[in-house]
Amino acid sequence: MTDKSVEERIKALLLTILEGSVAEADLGFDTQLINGGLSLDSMVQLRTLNALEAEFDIEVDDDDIEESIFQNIQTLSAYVRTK
Amino acid sequence: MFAATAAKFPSRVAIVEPDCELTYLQLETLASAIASTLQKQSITAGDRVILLLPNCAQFVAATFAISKLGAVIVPLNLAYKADELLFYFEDAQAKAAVTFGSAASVIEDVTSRLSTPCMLINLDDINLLTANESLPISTAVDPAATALYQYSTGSTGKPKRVMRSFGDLVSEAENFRNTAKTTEDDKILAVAPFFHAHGFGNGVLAAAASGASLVTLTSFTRRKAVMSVLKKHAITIFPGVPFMFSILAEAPSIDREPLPALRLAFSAGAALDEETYQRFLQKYGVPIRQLYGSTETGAMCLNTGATTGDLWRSVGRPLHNVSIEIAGEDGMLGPNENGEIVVRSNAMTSGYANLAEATKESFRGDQFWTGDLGYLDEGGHLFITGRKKFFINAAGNKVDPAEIENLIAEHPKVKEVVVVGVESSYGLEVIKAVVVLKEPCNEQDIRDCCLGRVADFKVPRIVEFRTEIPKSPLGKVLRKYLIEQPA
Repeated sequence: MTDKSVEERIKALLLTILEGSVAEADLGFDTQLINGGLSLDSMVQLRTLNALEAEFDIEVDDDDIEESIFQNIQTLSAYVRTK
Repeated sequence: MFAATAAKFPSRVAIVEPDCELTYLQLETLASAIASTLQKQSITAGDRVILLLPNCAQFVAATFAISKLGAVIVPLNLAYKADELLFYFEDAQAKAAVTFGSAASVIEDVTSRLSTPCMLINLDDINLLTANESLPISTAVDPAATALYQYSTGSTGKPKRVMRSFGDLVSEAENFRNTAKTTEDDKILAVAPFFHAHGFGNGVLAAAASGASLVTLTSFTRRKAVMSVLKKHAITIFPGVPFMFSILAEAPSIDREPLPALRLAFSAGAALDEETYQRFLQKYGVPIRQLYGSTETGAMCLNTGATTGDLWRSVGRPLHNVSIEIAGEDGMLGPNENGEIVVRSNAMTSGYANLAEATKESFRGDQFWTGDLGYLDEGGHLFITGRKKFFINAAGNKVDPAEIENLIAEHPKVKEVVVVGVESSYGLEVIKAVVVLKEPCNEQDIRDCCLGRVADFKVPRIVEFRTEIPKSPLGKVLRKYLIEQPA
């Protein structure tokens, strides 16, 4: 797994979860996901956790999930790499 | 009702929180302490008291404290921003607002902008152990007096205020208890928000009517915490919304495991999708049932019977003391005929505050015309098929498009805007704003019109720019052509 692939794979997951409501070109690795930006709600965040577990075969500890991890695709990728 | 339950089951557990438990006697004592505090602030019968609290013992205690005084409970969503809260505070003409924690500073901001005084009752500042030493509180309230204000999503940009009496609420609680057969042995997972009609009626009231325990979680943000509570406390009743069940059904890190104690898991607020139903059943061995309710009526139907075949899609038969009919253009319809759902219930309100036209349209005789579409099968099971009234169902939260349109229309570069709901997975919708511009701007500029001014769930996920809004020859917006992407 290369570093780039993690970001790309998370981007693909998010695009699927967002069901075409965000264009691929508008979702950069540094696009703000919460607290402004796309302002993803808790439902999308929980779906993303489920999708990360399935995609990367990891177990996400819900207690790990802080706002800092959901800032953008880069911060989510950094979290996945720690698992 | 609550006082009677507390007297009958003083030592039974009323509330379970992650780090403490309260018996009914302790909850009653807490309610009396809060009532005394409110009384010292001159709150009396008929005064409106806003509750801005998460699902917790204080919410339940404050609810019954306000009722003890014959005052009116006004529960509001903690996700609302100050500008939204200002509308509710003004509309309700609130005399006090009860909260704790960080919401206190938001309320201070709101109350400072009101033309009439509204006291902040910060439970953090009150020694509830000594607050009970006060004047005796009369528990005699008029059953016909208003007990609760809740707000129903309108179609004019402003929520409609629904007023329900003490008698309505007692009827709702008893109807649910008699239908769901709740008893003091039940343990209800209280994660559906209490400020909403679903969590209030099928959580707070349901427990108060039966002596069941409420096991509270302040939010549905930790999947394993929810699962842990379901197992550890042997939850018997789980009122939820579709997305909660879908998250638990799909979570790879939560093991497939039967939940034998869970005798009644039911979903409300939006239609349950088949994939979630099947996956939850396979994973936990529990069929998710559906409940149909509204702010105006409380719970109307609950499927407590079979879920085989297509019956899982049904919201079941009417609760005790509730009757359902299906209306067509020329009168009431027979089995399997689709029309507007019309309800008669001893728990429903009789109209909207200060909205004569909307009241006249929805309340005819002793019936409430729901604006929802559906049919009854030969067995009397109700199936919901759609709705006549226009609003967007975002994660179970009803959103009035006009409210969002008004915010975006204020942008100087926006010429025209229409907000619609686009169907998403799990039977929910995402909010889409279709915008005609006077001058160039981008999607984020449009979202920024809403961010921080309304709750995040109301912010449009999709922003689409068009050169014109499609309209009929009479000028009516053709919303169906806005839901799809342009060819």
